[in-house]
Amino acid sequence: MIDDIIQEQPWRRAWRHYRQSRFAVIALIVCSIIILAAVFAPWLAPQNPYDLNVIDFFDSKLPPGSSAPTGFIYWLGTDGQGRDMLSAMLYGLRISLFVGVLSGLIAILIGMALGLVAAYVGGWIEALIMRVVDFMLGFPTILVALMLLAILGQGVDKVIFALILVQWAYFARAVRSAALVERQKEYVEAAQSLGLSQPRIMFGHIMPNCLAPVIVLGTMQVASAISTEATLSFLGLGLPITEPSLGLLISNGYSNMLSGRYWISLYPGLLLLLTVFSINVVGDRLRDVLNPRLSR
Amino acid sequence: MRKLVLDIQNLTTRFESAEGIANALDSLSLEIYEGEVVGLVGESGSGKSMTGYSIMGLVEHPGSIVGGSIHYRGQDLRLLDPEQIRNLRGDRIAMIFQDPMMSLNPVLRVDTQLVETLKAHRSIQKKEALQRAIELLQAMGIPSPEIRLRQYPHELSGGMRQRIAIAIALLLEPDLIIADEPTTALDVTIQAQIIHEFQTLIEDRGTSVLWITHDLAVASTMADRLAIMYAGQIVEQGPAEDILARPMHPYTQGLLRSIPSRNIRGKPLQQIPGSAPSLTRLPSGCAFAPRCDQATPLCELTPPLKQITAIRSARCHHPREIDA
Repeated sequence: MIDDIIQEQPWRRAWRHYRQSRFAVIALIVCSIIILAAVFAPWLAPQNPYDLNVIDFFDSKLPPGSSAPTGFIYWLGTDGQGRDMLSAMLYGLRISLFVGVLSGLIAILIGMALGLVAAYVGGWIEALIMRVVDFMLGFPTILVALMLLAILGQGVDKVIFALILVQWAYFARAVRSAALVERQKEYVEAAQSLGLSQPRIMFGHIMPNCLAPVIVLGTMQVASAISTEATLSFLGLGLPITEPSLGLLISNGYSNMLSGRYWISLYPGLLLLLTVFSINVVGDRLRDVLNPRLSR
Repeated sequence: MRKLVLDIQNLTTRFESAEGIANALDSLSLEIYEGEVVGLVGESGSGKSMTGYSIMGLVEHPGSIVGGSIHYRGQDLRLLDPEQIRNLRGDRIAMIFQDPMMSLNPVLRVDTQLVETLKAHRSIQKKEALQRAIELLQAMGIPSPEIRLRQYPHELSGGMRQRIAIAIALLLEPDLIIADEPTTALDVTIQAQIIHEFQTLIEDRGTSVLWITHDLAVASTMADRLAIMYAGQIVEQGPAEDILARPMHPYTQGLLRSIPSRNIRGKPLQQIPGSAPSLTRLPSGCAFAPRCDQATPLCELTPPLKQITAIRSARCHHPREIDA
């Protein structure tokens, strides 16, 4: 009998499918390197860009490859304050990823809980939640974030708050539509017939079956959060100058672009591009792999 | 005197749709006594599964129970609040579904599903719960249950999955099990094994069972008593051997004639002409009359439920005894 053959674990099967695309595997490796670089930035960076003792203002705006009087080589040049660009970028990447991932995770938790409740409970609660979702999605992300930050002021916590607020609705909508399909399935009736509690059925039974779209959307949303944060910082409404993210680094160098000091903006810009691009490729591949209609 | 476990009186479950009102169950009455296995037999669409769902309180919109009562050991299930119903489900009344691929959660391991059922009704340590699960899986004929417990449903064969679904239903030693075609999706050999194991377990515990099936042959091996359903009503009821030997309702007679048998080898298999009527457009009078070879003008009137002997009843104007 066919189904007597022991099948492999779902995650292992997903990986076997995933690695069929070499491009996606490369993107995953790039992604992993970027994440590791961000996590270990304090140990990897040749200089601590926040330590004013090691920054020499006279070294400002040096081109890539210049060396300081101390013999220190600025491989990617220095910015307007005389900071080593490579170090500033690693720290900036750390902040960008931290903001993007944390806001994405919290938005997933909020959106998933509300989407599940909407799908499972139904009635006016569902109508209320989904109208709020429609309302949130009716505004352009960047507009909502700009308005919020204009009111709240600068700060990492405020940027994260603004990014959660503009993201949760996407997850609520995706989880609700997945949960509406799942709740029709017989295992939900079976769980009810076993006398399990409503929260148990919602979060213990339906939720794990809705994870595939959440993982895909979550990956994409983290990339989108990183670029939204960069946009906000570029416009001067994001993170404070003391905690420069990639967006802020780009913004700092912008005024020097036309004077030929391209490196202050270009390298953080390329790193941001690579980060967002590789995450999106991974997310796109995950969508192919985890989509039950395409998997075979 | 045997005790009643389940007493259904005049139960009506109705579905309202754009095509009209359909009574999936039409004033259905059925009693199940302690330790008794009742076979509920009917074609698809006759309302036999809906009987199970109605008892479990799982009828969902656009359907609803509009009349009658379901008493479980004297308590009217329709009057209980959701929390009381939840406490009964799984613990005192359990259900087994037709397709174990659908009724087991695909992303949860077998042990998770067994342990959480125990924990929902008893304060029990996980280790103790696992021990009980292993004993029960062994009793259901599952080799090396410790390994099976750590697997996901898709790693198991169909028969294995249904054994596990049955084990989950039996876990809290319920008084009543509603088995909704639990062996229909399985091979005949595995079906026989599972029925045997299930029978042993329920006889040991004195569990009552409502065995829902379209298969008279299966029902007759399992059931003490049979109830034959047609268009949302029970048309004939009585001890299993009696009904099989001397069916009274023309529909039951037709069902019996349509079972392939050695005795009628070489002759064409008889069938009941036509198909089950749409519940939204039931004929007035006897619902079976248009397909019945014994119908008379009297059948345009709704037939009463006739108590023919102390233990047998049929809903027919012309109940007859013939030799099957």
